Amino acid sequence: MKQTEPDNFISIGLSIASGEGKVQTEVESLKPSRDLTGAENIIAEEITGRHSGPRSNKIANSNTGYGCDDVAVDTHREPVVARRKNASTQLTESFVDDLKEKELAAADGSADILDLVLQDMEFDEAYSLYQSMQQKQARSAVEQLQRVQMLNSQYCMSIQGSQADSNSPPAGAQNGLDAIVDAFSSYHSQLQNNAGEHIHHNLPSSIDQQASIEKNKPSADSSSNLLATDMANSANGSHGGLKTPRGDDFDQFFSNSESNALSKFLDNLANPLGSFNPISFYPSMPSYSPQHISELDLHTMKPMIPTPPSRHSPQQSMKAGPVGSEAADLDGSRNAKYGAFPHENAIHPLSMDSYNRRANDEVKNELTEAFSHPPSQALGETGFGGAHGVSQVPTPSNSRQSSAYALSPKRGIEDVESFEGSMSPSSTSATTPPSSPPSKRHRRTFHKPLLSLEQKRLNHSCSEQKRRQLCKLAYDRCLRLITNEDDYKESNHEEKKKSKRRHLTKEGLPNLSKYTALSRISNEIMKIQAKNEGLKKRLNMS
Amino acid sequence: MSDDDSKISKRRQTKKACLSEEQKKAHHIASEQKRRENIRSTFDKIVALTPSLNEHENRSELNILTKSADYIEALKQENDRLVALCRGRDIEVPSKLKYNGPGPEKMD
Repeated sequence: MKQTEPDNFISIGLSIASGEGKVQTEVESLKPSRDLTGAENIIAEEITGRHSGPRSNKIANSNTGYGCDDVAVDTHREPVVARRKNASTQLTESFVDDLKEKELAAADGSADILDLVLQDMEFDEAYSLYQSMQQKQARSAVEQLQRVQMLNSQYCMSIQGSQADSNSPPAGAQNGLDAIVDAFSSYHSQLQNNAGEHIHHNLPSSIDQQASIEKNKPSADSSSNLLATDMANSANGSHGGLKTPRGDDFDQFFSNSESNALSKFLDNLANPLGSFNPISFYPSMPSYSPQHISELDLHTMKPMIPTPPSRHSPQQSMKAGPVGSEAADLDGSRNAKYGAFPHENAIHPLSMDSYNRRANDEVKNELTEAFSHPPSQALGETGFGGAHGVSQVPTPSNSRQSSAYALSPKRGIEDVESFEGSMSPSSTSATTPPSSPPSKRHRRTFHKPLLSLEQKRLNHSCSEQKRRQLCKLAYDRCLRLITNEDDYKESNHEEKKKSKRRHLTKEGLPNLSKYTALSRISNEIMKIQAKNEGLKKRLNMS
Repeated sequence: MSDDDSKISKRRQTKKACLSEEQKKAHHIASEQKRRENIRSTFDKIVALTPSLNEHENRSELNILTKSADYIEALKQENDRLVALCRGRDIEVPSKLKYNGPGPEKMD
């Protein structure tokens, strides 16, 4: 894991450098209706989430897996901070993941062939499903965390309504960036100081410090309050989530672990001091959170920016837990692409909005790690005896997640798959107009080759049968026209001994060879034509 | 002598059998080609005879059969019409010019 992560980052950077032109074209093609500045803003928003997501995820993984990985993490963090100051590089970065996914999906040959293979091999199918579900879990978790942070920042903004950035958006964005940089540097120092420590104790303090630097103390408090209050509500939400239908593809595979997780969760509901993080009940259960993506899409997509009504967004995002990154960003990019926030953009200035998102993404980085182990934190504070048993639960999922991410060549395909998969529940479960068309399109491409192969064969055989049937009918009709059944009945008795061939077929038609039948047809035509000619001649003569 | 003859004949038989296998094959192929050629020629004949079929349609069996059947029916109807017309004009219609059903002409 230590070795593969830097490789991933290097490859990302290289693809950033190489795919710049492509990115620009894609930006324009994706947003033809908007002017480029608006697109830049949106992309800047996207990129913060998109890139901070996987990194924070990886950092969390490395920290949970190995306590002293922080130095390597810092080397990745600093380029991130440097990049955030540059808008153009943000632009390019924002679509690097997209490009990688698309290129991988196209170049490998890939999703289609993979699908074909998976259809045949059950184990491989199950394995890929499993991996894709893990990816989905990761994404959904970060998406939900992002929403929490968005809410937190909005809450903070509403409380400290006299902030300078709300009055002057560009300056506010700059301030936000500075604060972000400060937060990152402080986080670096924090990480370096606590390099040897376990991450469970490290992260809560780090997020507190970061909040104080950003003057977002109320937000952190509010987030914790929201966490505490909404965890009770999250029980209902999780029940609904568990019972709502999921993507049809994954039902049979994950039903057992799902039920196990549900039973665990119910047990913990009885114990109020127990873990509040439902995702911890899904150590090997990746299909839990994608559902919440759909629910979040449905319920919180609109009220995400307006502060008060979106209080149930954290309730679900708290359950998200440790892992995941890109689904949130994909979702955000989707919304940006399909113009899901037109009125919000109208209400808030674009730069203001982008600042909010950016700050939220920064908060999200910290929150991702901070909330990755809420059980350990809560239990550590309460001094509960069974802290170790619960706190160890998220770790395997993290390590597995990181291993899944370490498979860099396969990751693109899996991302595409999980992207589709994460989209599919939203399309099936409800009617969000912006998100349903792309998901349907993806699904169609997903299943197209299989169906077309089957359908091709079926159609071909059907049409061939139809053609032969028509041919046979026409041939029989011709035979009926040219044969006199009486002839055969008379001649049958005479010639029975001579040849076996002179029989009538089942349909009462003479058993003629094709050549003789056709020649008889032509003879018949000629005979009648000659008769008609003679009759016409007689008519003309008279 | 008789032994030699029998040997030779045996050898010949085996040789003949061996050759006859190939010959059978070749003969079969040739006869199949002939059959197909015959069918094709009759199809071409029908196409030439039927006015509703042009030369470009001589590769569609279904087309040929349907249109030729249509044409035969039309010819029969025309024959009936012509016979009725002749009778209406008191013209003697020889039985050989009247359509008496399918099959070869029965010579009286």
